[in-house]
Amino acid sequence: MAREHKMQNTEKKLRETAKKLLADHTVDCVIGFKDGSRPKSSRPFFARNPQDVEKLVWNMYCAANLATFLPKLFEKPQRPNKDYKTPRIGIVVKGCDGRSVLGLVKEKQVPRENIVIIGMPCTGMVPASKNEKSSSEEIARACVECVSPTIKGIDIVIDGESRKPARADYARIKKFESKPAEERWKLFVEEISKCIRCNACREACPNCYCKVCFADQKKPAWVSPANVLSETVVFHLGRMFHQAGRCVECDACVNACPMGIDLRLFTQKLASDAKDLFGSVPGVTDDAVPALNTFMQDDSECFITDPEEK
Amino acid sequence: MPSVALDSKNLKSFVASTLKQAERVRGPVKDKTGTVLADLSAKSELAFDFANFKLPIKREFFPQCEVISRFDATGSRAESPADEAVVIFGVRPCDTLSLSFLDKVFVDEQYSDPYYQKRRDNTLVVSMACNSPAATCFCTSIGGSPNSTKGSDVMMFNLGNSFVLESVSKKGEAFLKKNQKMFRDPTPKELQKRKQQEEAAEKQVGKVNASATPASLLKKNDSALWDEIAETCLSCGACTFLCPTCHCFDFYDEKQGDGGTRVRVHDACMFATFTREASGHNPRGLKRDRMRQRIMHKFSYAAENFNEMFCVGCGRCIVNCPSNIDIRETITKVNA
Repeated sequence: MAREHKMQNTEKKLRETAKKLLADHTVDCVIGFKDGSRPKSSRPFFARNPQDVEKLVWNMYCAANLATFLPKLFEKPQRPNKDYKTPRIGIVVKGCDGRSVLGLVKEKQVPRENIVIIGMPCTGMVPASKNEKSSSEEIARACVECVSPTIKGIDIVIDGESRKPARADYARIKKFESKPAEERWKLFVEEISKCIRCNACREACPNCYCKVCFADQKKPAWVSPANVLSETVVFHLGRMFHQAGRCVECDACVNACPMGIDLRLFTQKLASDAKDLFGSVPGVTDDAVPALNTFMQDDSECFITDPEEK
Repeated sequence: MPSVALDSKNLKSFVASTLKQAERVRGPVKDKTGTVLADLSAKSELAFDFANFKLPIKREFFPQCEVISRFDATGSRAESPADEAVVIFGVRPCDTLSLSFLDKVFVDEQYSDPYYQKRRDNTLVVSMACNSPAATCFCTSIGGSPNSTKGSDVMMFNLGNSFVLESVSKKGEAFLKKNQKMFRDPTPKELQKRKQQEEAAEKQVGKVNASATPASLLKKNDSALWDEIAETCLSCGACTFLCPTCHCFDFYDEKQGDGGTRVRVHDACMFATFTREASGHNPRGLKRDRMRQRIMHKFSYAAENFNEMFCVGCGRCIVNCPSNIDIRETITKVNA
């Protein structure tokens, strides 16, 4: 009950903040959450005028990473338009979403001066159930293992209680790595075989902002849209490797997947490698650019020459 | 043919007997991910305590990808449609209703899809009435019902200790006749319970005012409504791939050396590449235009072409949309 009360207080402060930003035209819209259509769910919401803010909510079901909407909002119009003004956007973030937003700024997809980042206190989120008969109560693994529920470098901080940061020990990855290659492959195939190629993982991921995804290219067609193992594996490996040194482990892909694929097992492997090989935790360590966008003489190369070594 | 009854304890032997009558028998079983439609063996434990399969039944007849022709330097040959007798148990009435819609698309006096038609001809669909519809179900608002028999061959009612079965099609009647040793006459009590369950389930289904949707849509072509509905759409294909009536497809060629295969694969109108032309121009470049296409196709074009709204109220798109875009709200907004 105490927790609920605190959340309501936080929600009130959020609405006041959003109202002010919209009323004085600091931003054109605030991307936040409103109640979902199913019990125990919230969903993305674009508040465009001060009256809209009454719909904004903050509760334990605000699991989606809203940063995924940002790159498209800053795409320039296709035809020259002298009236075009770069929009100003307020965005409601948890620690993970904030790391995504700042990552997008670093990768020059979002102009920092045109966004107002509103940081929320986060005690962990419960993703919406993908089963029509059950609602989930469990806090996501991404939240339990979150190393940075709050972040620096944002514009407005809404006070409240947040989770204590977890220690990134990557125990599950270490266990996975200790298995023989055949067993790891079997597990990979077992998970990936569930894929129906709907692209929900890609579209929910803030880091997947390529104007034309390699999986959508036709000349050459690197991969077909079929849900056969060879194609599905190429799609996921391609997507995952594009995330190396960039993935903030928010689990937007995991939560979006209708088929319940344990993508975290693989994205976390990337995160653990980025940490071990390059000392980088995206959005947490102070890197000027993502680890794989830069080169240093003493960078580890063993992942190419001898992947079993560290 | 009047209804027959099957004691639950004889379900396994019934399945075992159908295994001798078809090359493949499919039905609901539990696995790590929940209840899924899988190939059955004589040992399979059928599970009927599920709302619906995650994946729609269309995939049994119109698979996500299939080879339709093979080619090499000498020319191309059409692939013959698969030819095997299949029985599917436990299909929900909303999904069988979707088959009756897809029949109108794929099987036509003038043009028929040989792959779909062959599978449809060779498959016997045993549907299972819904005893406890989910909160996201709205079939009764859209021409369906938890007890609808449309598109089915045999309808089954789960009474707990026994099942009542009724043939719907000629194919279903022959199937029940062939297996009549398995059945007995239902008791009046069973028939009464069946009726009670039917009525209770009907009442439990959520309501949406959908009947005027085709007419309302005619006035909504340029509406700002589409911007509003599509605002939080991520342009993924979860809704269309899991929709039992969505049937858009694409082709691609898989080349190997001098030859290769032409493959048909499901497409999704929500994908940004859906109608991208070779020039790079895309008449539906904005997600608002694609959202309009999806809703118009289901509720306007289908109504015009087939006199049906191509939605069965199964709620899969509601449950699986990462942004929780709710088609019931869309229908309500369109009709407002």
